[in-house]
Order: sequence, then C-alpha cells, then structure tokens
Amino acid sequence: MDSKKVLAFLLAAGLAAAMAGCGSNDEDEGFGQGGGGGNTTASTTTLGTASISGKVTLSGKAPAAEIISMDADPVCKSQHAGSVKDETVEADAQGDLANVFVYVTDAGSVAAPTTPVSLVQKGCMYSPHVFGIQVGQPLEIVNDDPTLHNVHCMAVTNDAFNVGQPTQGMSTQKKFDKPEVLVKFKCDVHSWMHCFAGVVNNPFYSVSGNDGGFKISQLPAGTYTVVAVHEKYGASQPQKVTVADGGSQTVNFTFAAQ
Amino acid sequence: MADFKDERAYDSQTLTKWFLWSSLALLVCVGLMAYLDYHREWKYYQRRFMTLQRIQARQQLGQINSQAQADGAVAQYKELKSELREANQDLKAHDDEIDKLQNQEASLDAQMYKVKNLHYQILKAQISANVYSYGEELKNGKDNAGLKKKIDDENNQADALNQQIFQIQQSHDEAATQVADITASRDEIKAKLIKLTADYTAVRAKIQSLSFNWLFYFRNAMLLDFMAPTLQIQQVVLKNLPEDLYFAKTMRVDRCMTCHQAIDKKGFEDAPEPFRTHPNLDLYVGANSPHPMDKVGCTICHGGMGPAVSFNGCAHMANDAVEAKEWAHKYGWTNPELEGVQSIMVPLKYSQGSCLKCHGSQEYVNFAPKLDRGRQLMATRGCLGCHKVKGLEGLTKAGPALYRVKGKLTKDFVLKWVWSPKSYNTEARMPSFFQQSNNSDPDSLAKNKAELNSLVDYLYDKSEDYTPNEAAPPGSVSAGKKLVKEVGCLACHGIDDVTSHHADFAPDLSAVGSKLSANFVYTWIKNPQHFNPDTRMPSLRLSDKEAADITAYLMSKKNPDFDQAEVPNFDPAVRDELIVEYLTPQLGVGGANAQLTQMDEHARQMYLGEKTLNKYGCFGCHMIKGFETAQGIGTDLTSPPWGSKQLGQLDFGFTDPEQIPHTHAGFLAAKLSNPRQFDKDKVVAFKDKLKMPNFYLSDDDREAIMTAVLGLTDTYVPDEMTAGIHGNGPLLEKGRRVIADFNCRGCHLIEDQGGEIREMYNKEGIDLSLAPPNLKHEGEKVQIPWFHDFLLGVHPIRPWLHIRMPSFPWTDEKIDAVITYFNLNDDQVFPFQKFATRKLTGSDYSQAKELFTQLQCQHCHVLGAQVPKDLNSAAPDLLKVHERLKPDWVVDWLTNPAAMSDQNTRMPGFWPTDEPAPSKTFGGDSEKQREALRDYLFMLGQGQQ
Repeated sequence: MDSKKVLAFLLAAGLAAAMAGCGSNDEDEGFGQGGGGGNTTASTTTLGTASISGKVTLSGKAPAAEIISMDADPVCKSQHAGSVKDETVEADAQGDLANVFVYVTDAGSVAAPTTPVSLVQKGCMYSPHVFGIQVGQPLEIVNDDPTLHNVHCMAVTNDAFNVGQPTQGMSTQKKFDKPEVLVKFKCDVHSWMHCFAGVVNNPFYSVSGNDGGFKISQLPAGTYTVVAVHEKYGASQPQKVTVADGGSQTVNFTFAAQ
Repeated sequence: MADFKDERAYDSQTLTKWFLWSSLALLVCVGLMAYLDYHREWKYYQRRFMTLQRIQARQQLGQINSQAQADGAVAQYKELKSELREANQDLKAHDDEIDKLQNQEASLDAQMYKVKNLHYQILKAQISANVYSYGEELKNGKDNAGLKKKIDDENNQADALNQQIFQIQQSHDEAATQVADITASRDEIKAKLIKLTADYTAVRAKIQSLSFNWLFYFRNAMLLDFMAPTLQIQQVVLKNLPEDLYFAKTMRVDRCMTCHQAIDKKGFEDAPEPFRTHPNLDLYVGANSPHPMDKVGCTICHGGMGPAVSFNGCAHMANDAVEAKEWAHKYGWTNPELEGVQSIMVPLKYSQGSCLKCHGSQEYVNFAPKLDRGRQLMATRGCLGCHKVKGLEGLTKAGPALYRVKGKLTKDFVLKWVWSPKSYNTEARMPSFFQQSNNSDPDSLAKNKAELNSLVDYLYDKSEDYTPNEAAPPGSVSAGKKLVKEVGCLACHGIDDVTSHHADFAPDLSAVGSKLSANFVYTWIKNPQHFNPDTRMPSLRLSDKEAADITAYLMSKKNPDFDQAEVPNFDPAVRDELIVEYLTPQLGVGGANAQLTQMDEHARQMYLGEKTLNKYGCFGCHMIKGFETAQGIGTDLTSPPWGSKQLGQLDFGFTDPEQIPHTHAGFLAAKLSNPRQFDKDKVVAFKDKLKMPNFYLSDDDREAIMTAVLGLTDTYVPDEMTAGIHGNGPLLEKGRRVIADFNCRGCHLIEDQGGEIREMYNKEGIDLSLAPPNLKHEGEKVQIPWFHDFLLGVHPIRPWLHIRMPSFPWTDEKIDAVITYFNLNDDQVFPFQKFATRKLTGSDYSQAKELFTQLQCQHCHVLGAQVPKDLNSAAPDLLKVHERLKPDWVVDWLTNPAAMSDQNTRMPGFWPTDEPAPSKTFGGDSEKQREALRDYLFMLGQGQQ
C-alpha cells in the first residue's frame, strides 16, 4: 500500500468516526439521564423528614429599644395608638431573642416554590422585620399606607433596587438570583424603617419567634452546619449537627448583648 | 590472476549495515519525537480542562434535572411522551395513507429532478447557445430566420416545461401538506418536547463532545494527530502590538490560552490554575471588553514569552518567596530573570504597572487602583521632586512652599522636624535624611547637624515675613473634633482620633498643635490663600465660631515628647571643616582656608546652607526662592525606562543576594525600604554617601510605588494603541489633571473610581446617601452656566448635609478644564446646547400637576421655602431644577435613578420596568408622564404655576 492510500484510509476512517460520534447522542433527549456528577456546592437536594430546632438567646442586658418618633409623617403617626419601638433587638426579660435568621449553610439547593413571600409596609413599619426567601422565589412588596414609601433594597451580591410606592395598595414583585444573608431593606422617606431578608437556595431556614425558638424542617438525613445571623450582632459561630430520617436535633445559639 | 578490485567508492555490505543502523536510529528518533510530542505539558492541561468542563456540565445537567422536577417540567415531559405514544398509535391507522403520500412525494421528487435538472436546464443551455449564434450572425448582417424560429420554438418548450415544474411542485406540496395534516398533532407534541428539553439536550451534547471516547483517542493518537487533533496549540496574532526587535518589528504571538483554556470563559472563576477565568471579563479579555483577547493578547500586560507553551518556557514569575518555593517543587522552576531571560512575566502583584504601556499619557488609569495609588504617592510623597517620570511632569510640589516659613514655624521646630520627622508624627510625609544606616556614625552625625543648622538659617534668611491677620477666639475642643470629622477635612487629611479612614493626600494633623500657632491655624482654615496664594487647600466656608472650635481642637493635638526633644545643635568647627571641603577642589586647601577666614559667621551659614540645599535637593518638594525651576537631583526614571534597565546597571553593592534578590523588584523593594543599605560595607567619603531619604513606607504603599516604577518599560506601543492622545483625549486629560491635583476623588466617585471618604461612612455605618455624590453622568446632568457659577462660588445643593463641597481657589482655566472634562466624558454637545422643554397648558398642565402631587415629590424635596419636616430624608430644591439640570438628564433620572448615579441614591424609581405606571395621568403612559413631570418642574422654577 503506498502512502497516499494509507492517508486516504485514515481520513476515511476519521470521517466515519466523526459521523458515528455525531450520531451517537440522537437518543439522549429527555430528562433524568446523566447529571450524577453533581457532588459539591452546586448539588441539589430533595426534601426529607429530619428537623433541627432550638432557641436563640441574648446574654447580658438587652439594650432598651428606641422609641421611634413618627412626627415627620402624620400619616404614620396616626396609625399607632401608643409609641412604637425599634425592632432591631427584640428580646424579652428571659433573653429570648426574636428576629434571628437561622439557616443551614451546606445543604444542596432545592428548587424555589412559586408562592411569593410577602413584605408589607403598614403603619410605616415593615412586616415581617426579618424573613427568609429562596433564590428565585417571588417577593411581593406591598404598600398598605396612604403615604409615599420607597423600598430601597441594599443587596450587595444580588441586584440592588429602589422602588417608589406613592399610593396605597401598590405592590411590586422582585426576585433574588443569588444567595445572600442578610439583605437590608430601608425606606429613605421614613428613616426609621428597615428590615432584613435571608436569601438562601433551599427551604432549610427559620426566623426565631418572640420566644427565641426556631425550627428548620424537611431536611434529608445528614450532617449540617447551622448558622444564626442577627442584623446587629452579625453571624454566630457555625454549629455542626447530624440528623437522621424522621429525627430531630436541638441547636441553641447565644449572642452577647452590646 | 589479477586481484579483483572493487572500484566502487563504497562497500555495499558496510553500506547495508550503515543503512540498517541509521534507519533504526532514525526510527527510534521518530518514535521518541512522537512520544515526546504526545506528552507535551499543554496537552495534559487541555485534557484536564476537558474533564473539568465535563464535571461542570454534569452539574449543570443535575441542576436542569432538579429544576425540571420542581417546576413540573418532568411531569410535563412524561405527559408529552405518553401523548406522543398515543399520537403515534393513532397514526398507525393512517400508515397506508401516509406511505402512499410519501411514495407519491418521492416519485414527484424524481420527476422533478428529471424535468428540472435534465430537460429544462439542457433546453436553457441550448437556447443560450442559439441566441448567441443568432446574435453573432446578425452582427455580420445575416438574419437567420430558421434559427430564430428554432429559438422561439425552444422558448415555447421551456415555458411548457416551466408549467410542468410548477404543477409537479404543486402536487408535491399538496402531498406534503396532506402528510403534515395527518401528523399535525404528533408533530406539535414533538416540537413541544424538543423545546422543553432544549437546554438538557444541549448540555448532553456538550458532555458527549467532551468525553474521552474512542474518537477522541483516535484523533489525538500518537502519529495520527497530524490530521485533525482536538488537542491543539491555540494562539492570537497581534498585528497592532508588534514586538520591537531593534531593527525590525515582528507580530506578537501569544499562546497562553493553550493552557489557560478558560481565560475568556465565564464559569471557571474558582477553578484551579491554569484554568481560572480572567477576573473582570467586561474589562479584560472578553470579546466586548476594551481589551479583547484577539486585539490585546496577554503578554503586553503580563510580559513573558508569548510563543512558549510550557510553564518554565513562558518565564512565569513568582509573586513572592513562598510561591517561588511552591513552583520550584511543582515545576522545577527557577527565577528566569536571574537566568538572563529578557521577556520575563510581571509578577501578578505588579501587573497593573503594565497599564502604563498604553495609558502612560493619562492622569490616572481607571480600575488600576494599585498603580493609581503608586502614581499618586509618587506625587504626594515627593518621589517626583527628584526623579523625573514622563507623564507626571509639572505637578504641584509635594511639600509646602517655604517663601514665608518664618511666619509659620519656629526655627527650633524646623530643626527638630527635619532632623527626625517621624518623632514629630509617625504619619509625617517628610522623609528622613538623617540618622540613617549610612550616616549614624559620630562623624556623620556631627556633619549632618552642621548642614542642617546652616540650611535652616539659609531658609529663614530667604523667607519673607508673615503675620496671621486674625487672632483666634477661644473655641470648644469637642465641637471642633466633631466638625473636623464631619465637614470634610478628612477627605485629604488624616488624624489619629478617627480610625475609620485615614487620608494622606494632605499632611496628617495628629500633632499639629506642636507645630503651628493658634492664630496661624485660625487664619489658615478661614482663608488658606492669605498665607499662601498658591496653596491647593480650599476654604470650607467656616463661620468664626466653627473656625475657632476647629482651631481649639487642632491646637489640643500636641506631641509632648517632640516638644521637649533636644534641638540638634552644631559644632562650628565641623561646619567650617565642611566649607573647606567644598572650597578645596577649586582653591586648594590653603586657598580654601584663606577664603573661610574672610567669611563671617552669617556668610559661613549661608554658604553651607546653599550647598546643603543643593546637595539634598530640598527644592524638589518645596518652593524656595530662586530654586523654583531647579532640576531634581535623582535618577530619571523614564529615560531610560527603569523597568527595562539592564540588571547590570543597578548597583546592588555588597548586599547578600539571599536577602535582597538581585532582580528589578528586589532592588526596588530594598531601595524603598532602606535606601541607604546599598552603602553597606562600602568605603565612601561623606559627600558621596547615598542621599535618598527614607520614606518609611507601609508595605502596601511600597508595593504600589513599585508597581508604578516597574511599569516604566521600553515596550513599543504604536500611537494607535495609546490611550489619551486621540480625539478629545488631551482635553479630557487636562480636566483629569485638575481632578487629580485637587483630590476631587477624595470625596467624589468619578468614573466610578475614588470616593475614599466613603470608607469612613461605610465603617461607621453612616448612610452613603449622605456622602459626597457620585459624579457619574455629571456632564449629562448639569447645565454649563450653572456648573461654572457653582465652581466659582459654591452654594450648597443640600445645605443640611454635614459634609461640605469646598470652595476651591480655581482660575477660569481650571474651571473650564473641569467642565470640559465632564461634558466630553459624557459625549455632550459642548459648549452650547439647545434644551427641549415644553410649556404645558390646559389638561397637560393639570395632569402634570396631579402627577406631581400623586408621586408626593414634596415628601422629600424642598420647594423654595417649603421644606420637608424630616431633614433626614430631604432632597434638593425643585425650584432650582430649571437652572441647574439638563432636561434630557431629568427624564433619564426619573426613569432609573440608580443607573444615573449609583445604588445608594435615595431617589426611588417610580417607573420600574415590567410594572404599570404609578399614575393614570397621560393615559398611563410612563414616558409621557416622565416628560410632563420634567416640563412641569422646569415651569415651577420659572414661576409659571
């Protein structure tokens, strides 16, 4: 065989191979095949039956909550019978600390629900003051006051925004596309108004209630890192906890009053 | 028998042996070559990158799967699949019909081919030939009627064929439509399925193409990889950035992306090297960035051997000793600079210096903060006083003018200060000339003291008198402390009471009470130009009370240790010795001594004072009468460019290469941390000792200056690739020089850079909307006459803010430069512009007014005398809109305030995209509403209500 023939043969073989290669993936349409390579942070998780609960407390004397003066806007003032207190540190006599965002930092992502989280401006206060939301989940922001509010989202990782809501009943929908704990919201018209959102990529979060209690449920069995974040005191030390299917574990957090 | 003698020149047996051995050797060589080529470093990296991409694609696939699971796409998919099965089942009944139609289509196709491609085409060719012949004959005067008839007949035939083609096509289409009608519902399901799984299918295909299947091995197999290997060397050829090889310019070739495979691909930001994505693709490497890979390449910024494709061949340079050790272990790396390689890479931490190759004519380089800092330090710390740097000529001198030093400082202060600036204030910018490693011996100390005393006497002798024109009234230290922090002093000055931000553009004030008198401070802060008409220090329009409080505070900032320190006295005998030393070369020892005896005490001080001034080059940083234009005494850093100097030109003295690497960076780092250490172990006469003073730079500052100096190279860059010299470039740079010279960016963000004072706001949790504004789009924003008036005589726009825009002592030339800069930078029609606003009437007017009320603009905005109750949320006066703002900007601002400044602005967007307009006025048309509101605001200010 002379060299030209060898070359021709090889080229033909290469061509055939290329065609075979192109043809081989025709059958692969449809979900569910492959994708097993997900192993680290980008992994996805399905919901489970385990839970983590606990309590957040404040050690030391809680700072006295500031009384908010709403004199600047009579519309705000008229909606409150008594005085309104700043919600930054919400602790009772026993030190139960509310409004602390508690979440699992190392669980995989879970697709976002389509039901929106609602943030209401009522009486020139945000409700809720601290809330969790999933990446991609809609956030419905409503102005329930007959006065001008602007919702100034000070996100750093996500896109920040600042929307004016001049009329009562106006609502705006937003979404976050990256995890970020915590995202601050403020109103520039009413300097006392602010609130915080914990944006995470799964439903494994909770916000402590007035009794300082929180509960993260629907976790699949495994070992997790749990962190509590407070708007003033920052993030706690991470805690490791292992849960089994259907089981429950307790994790408590303590912040030192400043 | 005669001996048979083989007359041939060779012995065939030997030859055969030789041939055997040499062909075997050749075979081994070929094998070895193929083997070595097969195992080249870069192929290993390309294979690893395929794996990396495949893992990433698999993760992506997993995400697509789970997202599909969650949003119901999987269920939908299953549903569609079963629908498809049903549809296919249903179609079975029509199989015969479809078969028949498809057969029909096929036979029609065959017919079409026959008619169209055979009959018709041939006929057309015949007609053309005949038409040509007919025409030729006609030209010769012969009208061939027979031929003409033939052509006509043929044309008729062609028409008939055409008709036939049309009919075949029609029947074909009919059959196809019938098939499509029958299969319509199934095809629809199929299309939906394809759409639903498009992402999935694409990623699957990508994974396939990245797999190490037999095809991959075949194409990249040893000896077969000359055909169409998938592993290939990649390169860019840069026509516009040639390499200058002394006598010829050759095209620059960069092959870095052969291993740095993801350099221009998003999604590998956290991947291990060499697979990491280049940071900031929008600025570098990205196809749409100002520095696209195919135009700028890699080595113009990073240096190194562009065409090389191995780790050591590229002349990678380690950042530090730790990295060097790691590389030595991993790649057997040795420092290429020490091995005499010319094109070494720039260590990554100094890479911003390379910006100077193209941006060297610009005042500052955006997004190169380290380089920018280095260049600023070279101006503010006084490097440029002695060392010339191209592009940084003619800047304001680093130190204060000494024309009136007599009226500002006591002689004792100056003596103690120059003797040891750091003992007055550790943040002092004045460098230390004395008590250094090469002049701390008793002989040098005594001589230095004599030099210093005569120098100060000389300066005082030349100084004009000055008396502050105002006496400081008593003030409150605590009120002054608050003011210094709030009004803006800290944008330029640092002070130890505030730790959240430390500016060093102007002197640190932490010990100023030990330096100045209260009357001087009071007069100075009220009117800086009273003492020095040329000072850059602006006025903050302080009231008498404010100035008194600030004076009280500053005077409380003392350094008692320095106050009590001994004044460095001198020995006249040593001084005389120095004078004789200076005189001897001209007059001889005898003559020198004779000359000395003729000089009185004053003359001796003056003589040595002037010599000392020239010796240390004080005029580099200070304006001194008679020395305003004296040349700096240091090495010129741009001719020749310092970064391209031969290593042999750097005098490392007897320093230990283990401690001070004998490289450019090593020399510079050593020089900047202790300039005198290269005198170590040398025998040098007093007058020949190294003189560069010690700046006691922080590690960061030293690195910044090194970045700026190492970046001064002789790399050839053609004009077309040089920034700041084309079109409006020089005009822009003129404005940018004023901006740099007066530290506008100490407060303001300009071109998204600077705004250093914001650091204090950030660290102390102060709302950034109360900080000096971002000047993005300023040229688009404000009207030129207003801008001019504002810079000429500042009148605050938000008087309730604590921080103040200073009143700068600017000439028209400077104001013009700044206004021109802002307008040209925003592509404005300059200087004259027509403004389009309408006078609203009738219902337009009433609707605009209604909109103004609905949006509750006055909830925050001042409107003349009507001021909102809560100044915490106040916004600028809307009555001033018509004289201050450009109408187009107002509409853009209303559309998206954050885009026109930044995310910190308090102004909300009332017309978010995807949402209905906030009002029903103007038929709910957002654009009309914004324009009407703008027109209404312009009418408000002109009193047309």
